[in-house]
Formats: sequence, C-alpha cells, structure tokens
Amino acid sequence: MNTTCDREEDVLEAIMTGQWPPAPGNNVGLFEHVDGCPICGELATVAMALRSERDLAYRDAHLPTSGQVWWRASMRTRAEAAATAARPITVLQGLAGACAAGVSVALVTWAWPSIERPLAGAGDILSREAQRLGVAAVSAAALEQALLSIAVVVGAGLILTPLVLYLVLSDE
Amino acid sequence: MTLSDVDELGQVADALDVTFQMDEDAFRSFYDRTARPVWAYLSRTTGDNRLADDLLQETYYRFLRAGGSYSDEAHRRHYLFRIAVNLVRDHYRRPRFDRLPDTDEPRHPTSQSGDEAARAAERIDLSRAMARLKPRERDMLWLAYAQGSSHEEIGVALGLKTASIKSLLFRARRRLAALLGERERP
Repeated sequence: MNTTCDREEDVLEAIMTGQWPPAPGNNVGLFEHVDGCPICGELATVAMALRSERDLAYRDAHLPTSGQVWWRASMRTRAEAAATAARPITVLQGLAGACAAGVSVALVTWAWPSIERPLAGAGDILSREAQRLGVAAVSAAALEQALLSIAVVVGAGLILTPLVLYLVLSDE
Repeated sequence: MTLSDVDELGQVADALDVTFQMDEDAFRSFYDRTARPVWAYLSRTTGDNRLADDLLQETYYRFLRAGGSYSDEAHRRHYLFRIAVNLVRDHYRRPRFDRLPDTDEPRHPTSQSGDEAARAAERIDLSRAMARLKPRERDMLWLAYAQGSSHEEIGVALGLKTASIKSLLFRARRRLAALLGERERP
C-alpha cells in the first residue's frame, strides 16, 4: 500500500500558510491533484479540520499573564521548599514525643516502690480517719487505688501539657 | 534540639530564596511565545478548557523547576511540549472528546447562520472523531497538523523515534479521515 505522495509537502504548506482551499484560479494543479489523490485528500481533510480547530482554540484562549504564572510558580516552589525543610523537624518532634513517653514509663517503673509506699501509707491513714469520723467504711486498698490514679493523671499532665501547648501554638 | 531551634529552622525554611535557572524576563518572553499553542494543545486534547488552564500552569511550573539546559529555542519548546504531553497522559488518560470544548460560540446550530451552523457541526464531528482515536494518535495529529511540528519535533515531544513517526502519523491520519468521512455520509 502506498503511504506517501510527493505532493504532500505542497498541500501541507498551502494549508499551514492559509492558502487552502485556493482562491479561484490559484494553485489549480494542486487542487486537482488533491481531488484525485487519496493520500493528499486525507491529508487535506485532516489538516484543514485541525488547523481551523487550532485557530478557534487560539481565539478562545484566556491565558494568565506571564507575571501571574511566574508568581504562582515562585510561591509554590517556596512552599515546597519550606515543607521539605520542615520535614526533618516534624520527624524530630515525633521522636522527641516518643522519647518523652519512654522516659516517663521508665521513670515510673523505676520509682514505683517509692511511690507505692507513701500511697499505701496515705491510704491507711485516710481509711483510719474515715472510720474514726464514722464515715461509711472505706477500704485502704480502694483509697490507695484512687490516690494512684490521681498521681498518674497529674504526672501525665506535667509531661504532656508543655508538649501539647507547643504543638498547638506552633501551628499558629 | 530545643524548641527555639525548631522555630529557627522553620524560619530558615520559610526564607528560602526561590531561584529558577531561567530569569523572569526570559521566562516572560518565552511564555508569551509559547503559551497559546500549549494551551490550544491542552484544551483540544483534553476537551476541557478549565483543565487546560490548570495544566498550563503546571506545565510551566515543571518547566521552570526542571531548569534544564537547552541548545536552542526549538529544543526548549520541544521540552515544554513534552511536559504538556506527559501531563495530559497523567491527568487525563481517558479520552474525553465526547464533550465539546468550551467556547464562546453558541452551541445550537439552529440559532446560527448557515456557515456558522456548518462550522459548529464540523467541530462536533471532529470532537467525536478525535474521541475515538488513541491518545497518542490525537497528540501526533495535533502536533503535526495544528501546530505544524516536524517529525523530529513530534518524536521529541512524544518520546518516539523520528523514523517511526511517518508511518504512525499516516495511520492516525487515515483513521481520523475515515472517521470524519463516516460522519459526513448520511
């Protein structure tokens, strides 16, 4: 199957330069050739359709100015650079939080005997006082449990409050 | 690392100087020469003017960020078109020529003069025919016949060997001509 024609270039040039279809009396030879040549006929059909579509697209285009495009690109590059630079900081913040939690758990475990003894003592004292005052009987173990919960909440608050405050304020 | 160090690092990041290899004046001049053909390509291959607006910005952003070294203006243009072609492939893989591109023209041929109605009908035919082509065929035909790109330029833009363009283009052209012919027949 023949896929080329020697006159394709001429047809294409005439279309690209806006000389197609030719004015009466102009380019008669080429016009007749296109009429009889299937390859050039297809070329003319397709190229003319796409060329006029391009002209319409050029007319329709409402382009932003070069300054706008430059400015948006600059802003985006800046934002991406800042995000890239902040990434290690975020990782470090996460690590610091994990370390703080780990250290807290280790401290509580290590200091547990010295926390438990005073709590147990305080529980006993409170229980005896409650009995002496005639308040409904409260067991020492239950009081110890309550005191322990309070101690844990206060401890966690002391550790976490600065961290939470920092994270909230840094976002602002 | 203290919290103030963290703040300081954040400020450093914020103050990073933005520099592209191309200076602003050169970019403005290049943009003014190329934006219209790039937008036309994006608009007509996606069939969506709004998407074309977004992709135009993205094309120039990527072009600026890439900061490549170009032997001449033509090389630079080819690279720009290659970015646009890749963006269309990435963002809009499915053919969307089933929709007419947005234009200022009225859509109803009945309210138009004979010539305008015929032109609008031709556009619908072209849109539908293009929708039935493969994305690569659309790209190739647009670059060749709307943009007037050479085979070498098309090869660079589409990442194809120049030697294969001729036959691929011939097949795509034949297919589009046949589709347009189908529409013309009653």
